[in-house]
Amino acid sequence: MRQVTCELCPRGCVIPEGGAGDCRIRVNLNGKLRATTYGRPSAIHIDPMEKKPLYHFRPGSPVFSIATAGCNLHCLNCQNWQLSQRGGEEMEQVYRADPPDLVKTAKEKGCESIAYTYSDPVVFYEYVYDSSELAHRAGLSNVFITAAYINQKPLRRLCRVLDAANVDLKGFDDGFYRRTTGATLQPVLDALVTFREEGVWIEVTNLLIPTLNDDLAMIRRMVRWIRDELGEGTPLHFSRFHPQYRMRNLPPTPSEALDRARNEAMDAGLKYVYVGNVMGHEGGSTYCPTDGTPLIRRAGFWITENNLTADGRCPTCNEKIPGVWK
Amino acid sequence: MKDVKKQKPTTESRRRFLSLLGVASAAGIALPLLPRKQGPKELSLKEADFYRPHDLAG
Repeated sequence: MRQVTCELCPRGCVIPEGGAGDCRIRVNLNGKLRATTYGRPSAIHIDPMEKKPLYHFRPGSPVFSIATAGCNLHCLNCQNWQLSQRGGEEMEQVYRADPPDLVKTAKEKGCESIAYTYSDPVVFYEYVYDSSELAHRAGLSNVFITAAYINQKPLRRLCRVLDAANVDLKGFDDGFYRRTTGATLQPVLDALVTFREEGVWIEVTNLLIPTLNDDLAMIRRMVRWIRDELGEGTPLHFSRFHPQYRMRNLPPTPSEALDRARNEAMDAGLKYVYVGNVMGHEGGSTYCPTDGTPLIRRAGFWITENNLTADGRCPTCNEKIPGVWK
Repeated sequence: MKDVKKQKPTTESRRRFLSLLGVASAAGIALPLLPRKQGPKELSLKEADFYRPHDLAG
């Protein structure tokens, strides 16, 4: 039996011949590990950058967004479980698009970036890397929407071709991670620090699930860690939970819980704290941390007003707002 | 009635037959060389980047 050990993510799956890793899509065929969804996306859409969500990276620009089947996490509340909790052979829809096809189509559709998203792009790593290299040569940006459950060596290599990442930090407790996602916390924190060290623009998302990870003490620890390790200018998105998949027993996050978390983060010194999945919430817009001037107003994923100067400054006090604005 | 079997082919009909034969042979050679519309291409399975053979304990 020619078993192999996958070294892409902290799971370190030992895969027997003919078997697949925990992600379902990295398969041992005759003693060689194959990335079976390479060039075979199952979701292709054009989204606004705000949907990722990335609020400080090329705001309002269309982003060519792709995903393949598979994931190395198994979140009980997954919102894309039809895609993520399946292997490629279980998908109703599989397209064929090698990296040059992706880049060509993204350019033809007028997109400025490619997003690797929806499921976790860690598991289709080789496809992301090759596409990102070509995208850079064609003048496109690469954005990575991930839970960041990945080993350091592959991550460092990937950072060479990434421009921005939104990392879903699912909670700040290892027990919560193990129970709800099947992953562990520390590798995610390590990955966040690596993104920062490698110069990839990062924003953090935290989905607040009632009773599971909305404890204010836990949130306080999390926001202080973000402030100290990633910087006070790191955008943080508190996102509203909706019951789905295997977690239908809990209610949607109350608006007050999101407000409390946002206030806690701002009190800790984070300058750009957002509320997501709540239409019309003031926490969906960007304000100058110095004088409160509304900089970018949003309604859902759409920008209704953009007052930033061309070089990303507050038009009133000239404060430089961190981000990639062009 | 003429006996068809005994009738010899004329030079012109022989020439016509040979030219048709030439055209058919040329087409037979050229057709496989003409660009054809490609059907769905079967993609090979990409080898993954980060893995190693697993050494069994014991």
